Amino acid sequence: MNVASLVVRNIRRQPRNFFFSATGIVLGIAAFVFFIALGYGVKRNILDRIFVVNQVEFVPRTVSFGAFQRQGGLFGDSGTGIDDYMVDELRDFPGVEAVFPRQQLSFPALAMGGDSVFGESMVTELLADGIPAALVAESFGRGASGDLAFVDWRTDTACHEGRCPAGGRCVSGQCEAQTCVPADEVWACATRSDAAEVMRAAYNAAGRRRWRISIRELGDDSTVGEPFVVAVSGPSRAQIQRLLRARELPGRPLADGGPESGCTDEAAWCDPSTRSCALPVPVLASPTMLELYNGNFQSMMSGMAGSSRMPRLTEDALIGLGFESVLGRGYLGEATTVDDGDVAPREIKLRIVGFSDVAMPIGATIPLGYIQRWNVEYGGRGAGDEYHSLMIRSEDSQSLNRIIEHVQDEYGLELHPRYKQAQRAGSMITLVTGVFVLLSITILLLSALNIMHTFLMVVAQRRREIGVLRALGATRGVVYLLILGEALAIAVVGTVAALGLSIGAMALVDTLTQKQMPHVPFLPESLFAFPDWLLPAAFAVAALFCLLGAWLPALRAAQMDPAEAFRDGA
Amino acid sequence: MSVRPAKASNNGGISVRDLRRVYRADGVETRALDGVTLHIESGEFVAITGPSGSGKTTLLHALGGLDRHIQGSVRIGDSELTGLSDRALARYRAEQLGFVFQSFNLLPHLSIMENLLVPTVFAQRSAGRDALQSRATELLRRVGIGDRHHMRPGRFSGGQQQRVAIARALMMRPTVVLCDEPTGSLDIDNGNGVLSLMRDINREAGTTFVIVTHEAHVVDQTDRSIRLVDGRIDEDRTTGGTE
Repeated sequence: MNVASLVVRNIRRQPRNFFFSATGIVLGIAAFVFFIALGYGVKRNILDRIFVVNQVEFVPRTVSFGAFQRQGGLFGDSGTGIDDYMVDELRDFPGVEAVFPRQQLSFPALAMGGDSVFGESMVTELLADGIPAALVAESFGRGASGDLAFVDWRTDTACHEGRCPAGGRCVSGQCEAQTCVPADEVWACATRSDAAEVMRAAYNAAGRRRWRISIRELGDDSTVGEPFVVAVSGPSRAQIQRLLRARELPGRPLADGGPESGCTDEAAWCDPSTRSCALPVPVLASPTMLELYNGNFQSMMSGMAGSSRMPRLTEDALIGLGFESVLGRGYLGEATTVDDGDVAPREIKLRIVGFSDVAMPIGATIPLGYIQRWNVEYGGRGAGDEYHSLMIRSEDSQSLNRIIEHVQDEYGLELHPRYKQAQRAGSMITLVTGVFVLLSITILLLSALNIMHTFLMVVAQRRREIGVLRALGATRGVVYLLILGEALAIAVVGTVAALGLSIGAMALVDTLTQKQMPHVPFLPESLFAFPDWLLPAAFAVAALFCLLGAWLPALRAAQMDPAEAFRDGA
Repeated sequence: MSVRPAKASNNGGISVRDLRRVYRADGVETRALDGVTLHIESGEFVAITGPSGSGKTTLLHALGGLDRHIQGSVRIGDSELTGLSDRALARYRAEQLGFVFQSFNLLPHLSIMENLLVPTVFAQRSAGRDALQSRATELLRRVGIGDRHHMRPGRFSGGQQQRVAIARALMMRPTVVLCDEPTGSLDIDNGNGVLSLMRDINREAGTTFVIVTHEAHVVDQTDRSIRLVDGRIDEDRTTGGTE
């Protein structure tokens, strides 16, 4: 027998009082846990998934007059002003862990493909930007998947464990690319006039079919032997050669298949610009794009009359998906002249290697080196020097505000709109959570009043009994503990019941959300998150309000003079 | 079977000097005790008598250190109760005093055994769990409850409940047992039985018993009778105690 067992016996003798007192606490704590888990969950599962806590993106400041917007202020040049010099300076700023410049594709380009997913090839304008591979190194570093790494294959030529991508050879730690003949090159000729004759024959063979036919001058370093080749894009090489062989043409058809024409690595393709085997350009896509597609676009398109049903897509299904792009040609125009020289559209191959929240929301994000080279190729010298935005990762979240202030004041950049939205959304979530937690606290305050009322009644009922305990040797402190112990027991039982109730409510809300709103973008598996501190906090709050309610009755019981208790009890 | 004499059997002498207690209600002053001075020897079996409102129970509460508004001096053995702190007084009650009330005051939600063990919760001088259990069992057998210790008090008659209350009072081997109308709620037979039990214990253990009563047959069984009237000692006589 001890004080705790006396508390338990007291609870068991008046269970109705106990449960009546606990009801309010259960409701209050359940609401408290529910709303905090909701606020925390929305912030962590949705907001923080889209916006990394210690990472922000800056863009050049814009001045806007109604629909008119101008970057970099009212006057002065229209460049972004973000260059390597600024990047280096910012890297040295205290609290900055890393700076990642971002550059957009600044010329027209088309993206084509998707037959394996949509059942037919889709063509769209290619929106793309480039980021340093280091920005996503943690999630997309060169791993076991090897050729699905997010790296610039053109500059990353070091051998990895003696192996090279795209069938290259490792020589003294560096990869030598495997030479190849591009798939569209069908005929080799010794002279330009021979090549022109073959080209005319190809036009005749094409008839009304839209083949793209061109002559490529390979020069003395030609990998095929002859200095000129005729390239035809359209049907397969064998099909074209069959048509051309019927005529007596100078030169020779290029071999189809074998090491001379193909790449030994299945994933590689023969890049005409380098005439070597290359892995497709790695592409990171944004989960936002997938969410928007699955949430809105897919349902909208599937509901349209005459359109074929669009499939729902998953990240796993899309990783590894290859598509093509024509650089220099878009729906609105074509790049023809750069730095007083001619430039022709060319095809490249790309492949989705992963999904990342730092990828541009709608478009393809690829290693920065590719974008810079292409921008120079199709935009001219200098087009690869300036960046469109900067991502800064701070060493800790505390340094972030100081960095934001510094970048805004010193460099005239501003936060990317979506980070502003994140700040606003974060404040809104905190505010709404705060209001609901306040509501829970109000319920708990009422519960504390209820406990006080019940306990005052109980103390009055047990007045004589308290006198007996005092006569038997109980100190004021023990009497105080006996009453507070019962309150604490309410807190324990109330917290456990409240947790059960709130977890049930969370499961119900999650189930209903998933059933009723399956297509809402960014809808996580659960809207709730249970931080480690929530359970002890729930108990602490329950204990606080239970003890608050029981404090006055306990004080009265403890201060009761035993002689008066006997006299009044009698 | 016999109850082992309390080790403090020689410390049960009570000295009260100039004890006063005034109640004030609605501006009216009532002197419940008005300068009471008396001495009770250790091991005495004493009755406090008097008409209703004479101050009997107030005197008993003063002797038990239950009333903090007392003026004067109460000394039990070597301890001056009026000078003790609340904590020390509580400890003193737990270890040196036993109480028996008219309405038994057993805790109804506890079993008989648990009722007996309640004082052990508050006493610092306490033996191990097994020793306490066997002491309680021995006391219950002594008061005639036998092995029904797992039952709640409500299942017992008034006489039996008062016997349990006596056992509880003796649990910590007190030097003094203070009884407030211990037979007041019992019929003559049960009352006599309880009284004779107390008398036996008094003789066996040398425990001092102070019994507040207004019943003549109870007074007849005590060694000494102190009569109070209007808060003062009206008569203090030796009764001789009947067997």
